[in-house]
Amino acid sequence: MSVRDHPILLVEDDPCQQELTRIALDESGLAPVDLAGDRAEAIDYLFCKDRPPGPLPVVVLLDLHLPTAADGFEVLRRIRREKSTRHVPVVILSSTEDPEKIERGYALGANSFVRKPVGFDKYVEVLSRLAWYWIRINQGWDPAGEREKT
Amino acid sequence: MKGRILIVDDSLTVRMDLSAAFRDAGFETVLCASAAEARKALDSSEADLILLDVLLPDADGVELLSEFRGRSDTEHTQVILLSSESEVKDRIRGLERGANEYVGKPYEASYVVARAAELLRRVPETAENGARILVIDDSLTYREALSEALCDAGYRTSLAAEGADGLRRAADLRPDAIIVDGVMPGMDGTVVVRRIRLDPGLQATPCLLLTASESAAGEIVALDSGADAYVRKGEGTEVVLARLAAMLRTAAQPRERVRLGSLMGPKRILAVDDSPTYLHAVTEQLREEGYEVIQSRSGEEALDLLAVEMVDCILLDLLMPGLSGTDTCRRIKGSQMLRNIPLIMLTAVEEPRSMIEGMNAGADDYVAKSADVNVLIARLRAQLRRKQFEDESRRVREEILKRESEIRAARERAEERAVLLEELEEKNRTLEMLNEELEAFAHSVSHDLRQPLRSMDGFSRVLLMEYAQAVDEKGRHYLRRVRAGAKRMGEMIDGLLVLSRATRQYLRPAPLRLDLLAQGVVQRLRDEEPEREVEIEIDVPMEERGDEQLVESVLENLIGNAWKFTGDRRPARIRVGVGFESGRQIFFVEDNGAGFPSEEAEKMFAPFHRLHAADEFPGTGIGLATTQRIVHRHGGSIWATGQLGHGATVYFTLSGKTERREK
Repeated sequence: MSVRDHPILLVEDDPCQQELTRIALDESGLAPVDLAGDRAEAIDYLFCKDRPPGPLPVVVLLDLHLPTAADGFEVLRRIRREKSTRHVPVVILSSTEDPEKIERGYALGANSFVRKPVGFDKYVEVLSRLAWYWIRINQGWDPAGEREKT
Repeated sequence: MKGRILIVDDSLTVRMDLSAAFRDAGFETVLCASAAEARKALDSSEADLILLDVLLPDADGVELLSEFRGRSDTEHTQVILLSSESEVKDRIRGLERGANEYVGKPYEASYVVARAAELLRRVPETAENGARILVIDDSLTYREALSEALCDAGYRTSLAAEGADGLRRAADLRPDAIIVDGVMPGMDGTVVVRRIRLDPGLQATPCLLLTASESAAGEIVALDSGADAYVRKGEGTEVVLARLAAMLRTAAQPRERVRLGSLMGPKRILAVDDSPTYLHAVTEQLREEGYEVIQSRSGEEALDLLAVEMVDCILLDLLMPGLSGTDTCRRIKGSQMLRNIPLIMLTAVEEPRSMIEGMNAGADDYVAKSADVNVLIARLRAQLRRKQFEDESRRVREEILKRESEIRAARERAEERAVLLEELEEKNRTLEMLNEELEAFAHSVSHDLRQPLRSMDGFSRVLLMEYAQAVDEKGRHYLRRVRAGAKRMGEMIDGLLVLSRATRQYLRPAPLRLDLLAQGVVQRLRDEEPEREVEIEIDVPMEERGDEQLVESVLENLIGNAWKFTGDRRPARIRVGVGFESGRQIFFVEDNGAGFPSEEAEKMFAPFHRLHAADEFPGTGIGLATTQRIVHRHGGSIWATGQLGHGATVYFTLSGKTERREK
């Protein structure tokens, strides 16, 4: 299965940030990006029986504020509770550096926590690295083996 | 010559008798047989004292006294009224009209002379209302010098050379204040003050004690005795005057001018009896014993007299026409003002029933007229002594009450302070809460600012990359400016967040090796800019307690600044070291970089205060503010010295407050 077959799900309520994150991911050329604008859309996308058949996202990029942190955590909780999505990696994107929220995010099963940098160049770099890493992990890729080959 | 006495009496015998006695005592006398003669005599020459008979052929003596009091030259002249002893009403009238003394006939010439001499020792009342000060000091030189200074300052003075005399003068003069020497032969100053404090008539008089001693013990002894103030003799008369003025100010409430019986003056006895014979006999005996006697022929008279004149003891006949002894006694004992005066009931008959009657009416003792007069005198002495003890114990009781109320007041003050303290703590808590809220607000605002900023930078970049052809070079330049601005603002927001964290973060102090932290900082700087050649010297070891993360950020900031500002120096030199001052370690970071104008030394720790243009040396202007906050949270201080173009040194301590030093 090609990397491109699996979309990246971006859960983000701010249109500007949606746009920018999509641009950043497009630049990295990793995977198609699907968008969910709030908690309901995200849950619909992931769990709705009517959802068009297709592969589950290779990674979920979750902005916590949808518009409140409670909404973000709720999406994370559902992903970890449902059998179908239990193993999908989730990266929390946030402006916060509040240690309580970071800890809670990890406790609920987040795989990584990224504090969005202000500079766009840096953002692009951070996003592509993360997404790439989690896509490869998700596909059972062994980074050590890859390094040996190259 | 001791003084000029005007004797006004129509009886030649009286005039001659008194004149001889006064002349023998060294006085000059002027004799007048009538009111007319007296007026004439006063017109031609002044008198120091006037002896005035109440019954004159051409005038009523008391009316003449009123006339004298209305004349400017005799307004303050001492006047002794002479009257037959039965006329108590005259005595009351006379005292009310301004007589200084009242002597009943038949008089003892020597007694009249003694009273006159006593009265003349009072400095004549002057028109101005200067306070009267009694100075008691055994040194003539000091006494005179102080008196002169006091007079110059507008006071009236009376002088005494030793304690016992001083007390007598005090009882007689009722001065407004007393200045007494602490060390005198015989009765010393502290004893004088103590005696004054025990005297109901004088206890309110402010007392200033002079001491020769330089020690604190002298002060304690002085104040212990009840003195209101003390002055060391070496301090000079100005100090005495200043203290005196202050003392009189505090005692300024108008004092009771009622003549209370004083312990130190001659005891005044009021004898009440309808029998002139007995009255006369008793008076004579008592005067010989040194008592002053006022005679009254009836209970009514006695009560009238007691309304204007205070006495030390009352002898009251039980059986009298008119108001009886028992009723008079009951009235006296029923009066708040008079009930404390010892009262001895006299009766002609030794009979238990009348004795019981008298005692039931409130008499303090009971003496039969038939008994030896010595018995009466002994009883009288006992009553006076009892009264004195009572006064003293009342004084002690009052003192104790006063102390108790002072203690109560102190306790109340302490409670008030506690309440205030609590309020203050409450306010501090509120303030702390508000500060925390403000910090939290700043923190979240800083976060919220990041998001739109990312949009600005992001979309500008998209424009530059994807739509480069749509804008010309100038447009691209502007877009780059937008991105640079966003980047700088991002750095500032991050700086604010660090500042906020430095304030909010919980402090975890532990022993630190500042030299190791500094080496770490330097290593990171070298890794970032390996091309820079900077000579760095770090003192080893540097140890102090602090929060590792925060102290490291202090060093990062200070060494980072030094690194930055030495960018154009060849060679660039940075020294991180420690010095000791008053038992405290003072750390410093010194460089040979761009420095700063020395007048900026204070301002540079304020947030967003930048000493150099951003294009010259990049920075957010928050680093030093953060550093200062961290240092303050450790209880330390931070300051800087420098000169534009000649390097800078920043000093800081991590414990104990130190004065901010100038270069």
